[in-house]
This record gives sequence, structure tokens and C-alpha cells, in this order.
Amino acid sequence: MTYCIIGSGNVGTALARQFARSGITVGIANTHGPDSMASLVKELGEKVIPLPLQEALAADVIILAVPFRAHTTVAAALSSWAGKVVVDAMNTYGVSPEELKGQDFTNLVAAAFPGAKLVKTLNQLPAKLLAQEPAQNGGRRVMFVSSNDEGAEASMGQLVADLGFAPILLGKVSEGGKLIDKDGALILQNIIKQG
Amino acid sequence: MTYAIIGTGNLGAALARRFARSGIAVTVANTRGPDSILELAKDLGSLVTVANLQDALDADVVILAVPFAAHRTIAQARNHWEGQTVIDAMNFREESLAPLGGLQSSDFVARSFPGAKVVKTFNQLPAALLASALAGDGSHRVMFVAGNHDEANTEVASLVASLGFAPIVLGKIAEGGRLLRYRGPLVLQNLVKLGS
Repeated sequence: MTYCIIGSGNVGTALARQFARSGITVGIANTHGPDSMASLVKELGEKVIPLPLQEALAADVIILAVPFRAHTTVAAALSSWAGKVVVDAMNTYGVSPEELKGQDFTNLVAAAFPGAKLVKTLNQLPAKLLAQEPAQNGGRRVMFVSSNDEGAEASMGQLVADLGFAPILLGKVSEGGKLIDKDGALILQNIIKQG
Repeated sequence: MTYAIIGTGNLGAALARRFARSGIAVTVANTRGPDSILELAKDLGSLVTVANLQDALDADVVILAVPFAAHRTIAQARNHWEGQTVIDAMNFREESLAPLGGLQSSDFVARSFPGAKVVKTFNQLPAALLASALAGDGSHRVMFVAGNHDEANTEVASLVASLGFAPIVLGKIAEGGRLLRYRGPLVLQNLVKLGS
């Protein structure tokens, strides 16, 4: 399984840091090109590989850590998304209800990536907490995961666990997943799972 | 606001202990009568009052800590439930909801308590964790709350916080509340909430 993070802002950087810390190889790309990430990559070491966007999209798992409106640009960069897992790690600050056309965020994103298995996770913590060591206070920081595809949900639950978090699978996007969608009850909760 | 716990098994006893430790008065009752509870009450001090079932059900907030099948007996012990909040701390311990007509168990329970606002909480932790709201490091244990009436959810979340837990309100029973179903994703998770 190959992974690539798209976006190198606060969230993308925090995620790259978790991959590096966990010893899991990850590509990282943004719309400015690999040179723009030189200092980040130098800091995080050899597990984090800067790539041009097009090459990055060859990964099995694409993690969207771009501003919400940029997801369509990423989607347009590949002609087929069939067989890929797309992780929606985008948050939703400042996006108006009109832009959503009455849909759940994640379903809207899914429509932009036809054929991909969409999983929502890594979206629910402020970047500062996301970047922290997930082992805390005798437990692990909780990371909720939701998808309409059970297999993709389980495999991303495993990835999240490999990154050091305690995954909790919430089920379908329009059911349990609503709690980690915009204004959901499980957004921005700093929860540690013990025992 | 007056509170009553119905049921004095592991769950009811753990809740009564939490009320006592938090300095909140509560009445406890069961179907066997006050004599069966005297020892527990003595152990918990003056904030825990023993009553017969009928009197206990006068409380503003009635907490059901009985086996699931017993909720009907409790419901029938009173003519009307208007204006009362009923907390469903029970679990329907079967995977299939077919015996409940496909309803989530708290929505099924609500049918027996017409007029009451039913809120689901306290159902999701083993009694030992329920008895200690604070984790070892002083952080508050998470307690999820779900119900179909926003006001009752808020009121119960406030009780949950007064008992030392960190409440998280999940919304309606058939929506966010689904996650609190038997073997649901948010059941039996030992979670503590840290400041952000």
C-alpha cells in the first residue's frame, strides 16, 4: 500500500510528521511543486518524499489535506480514480451552506472522485493536536473514521492505528460519519482512549 | 430538579455512588422494595434516599438502570409521564433489532413512556468505570448523550457534567444515538477528554 499526502499546509505537515515518526513511507505533493517543501522534507527525513502532483496521484491512498475548495483541482488532475482510496482530511471552516448544495461534505467530495473509495478521517483535530505524539496520558488519542466502503474504512482504521492513534470506526458517511462532518459532535474533541 | 435511579444492580449502585460522591441528592428504588436497598443506602450516606417504586417515579428525572425487559413494568407503575425526563441507561443485548420492530432500543423504550422525554446515556460503560468519572490523571471520562429532545439532551448533559463526566451530545436516537447501540462504535470505549 502506497500513501501520498496532497497539501503541505498545517494539516499536511502534521500528517507527514506522523508518518515520519511511525516509520511509514509517504509521498507529499502540493500545487507549488516539490521544491517548495525542501525544508519540511529535510526536517522530517527520508520517509517523507516530495513529489510532483501528477506522480503523487499514482499512490494507492491519496490523503486530501488541501483547502476544501481545492479538492476539485486535485480531482481534475487524474482521469480515473477507480480502485483508489481517497482520504478526506479536509476541514470545513468558512465553507458556506450554498457551496454544499445541501449535501454532506464528504458525499460532495466523493462525487468529485468517481470510482474512488472515500474515507473521512484525520480531519477532526486542530493541526496542533494532529501533529502531537498520539500516545498521551496512558492511552492513545482517538481518531474517528467513516466511510461507505467497509473495507476501505477498516484499512484506513489500520493506517490510523499504525500512525499511533486509537481508531473508532463510525460507519457510513451519512450516518455515524455525520458526527465528524461540519459542526459534528465529534469534531475538535481531544479524546484519549485508555486501557 | 429531583432525580431517581430505578434499579440497584451493578449499574444502579454505581450511579448512586456517583451521585453521592458528587453531592447530588438522589432517590433509589427497585421492584423488590426499600428493604432490599437499605444496606447500599447506608454505605452511600445521607444524599441517597431509599423509596418505594411508586414514590421514586415522581422525580423530575427517572433513570432506568434495570434489565431491558423490566422497563415495561416500570412504565406501567405510573399513569402518565408528561413533563418527566426518562434516562435510558439500559442495553438491549441483541444484535438484531427485529424484536423491537427495527427501532433503536431507546426509541422502543420511549413508546412505553408516553409524554416523557427519553434520553440515552450511562449505558455505555462497565459499572467499574461508571463509578469513577475521573481517570487516573484527573481528566474526565467521556459520557455520550443522545435523545430526540434538544432541551432534555442539554439538561441531561448538564447532570452528566455535574457527576464529573465530560458529556458529548450525539443528537437524535436514530441518528448519532445509533452509535450507542449494543456493540456500537461508542460503547465500552474507555475515553477521557483533555482540554484542547
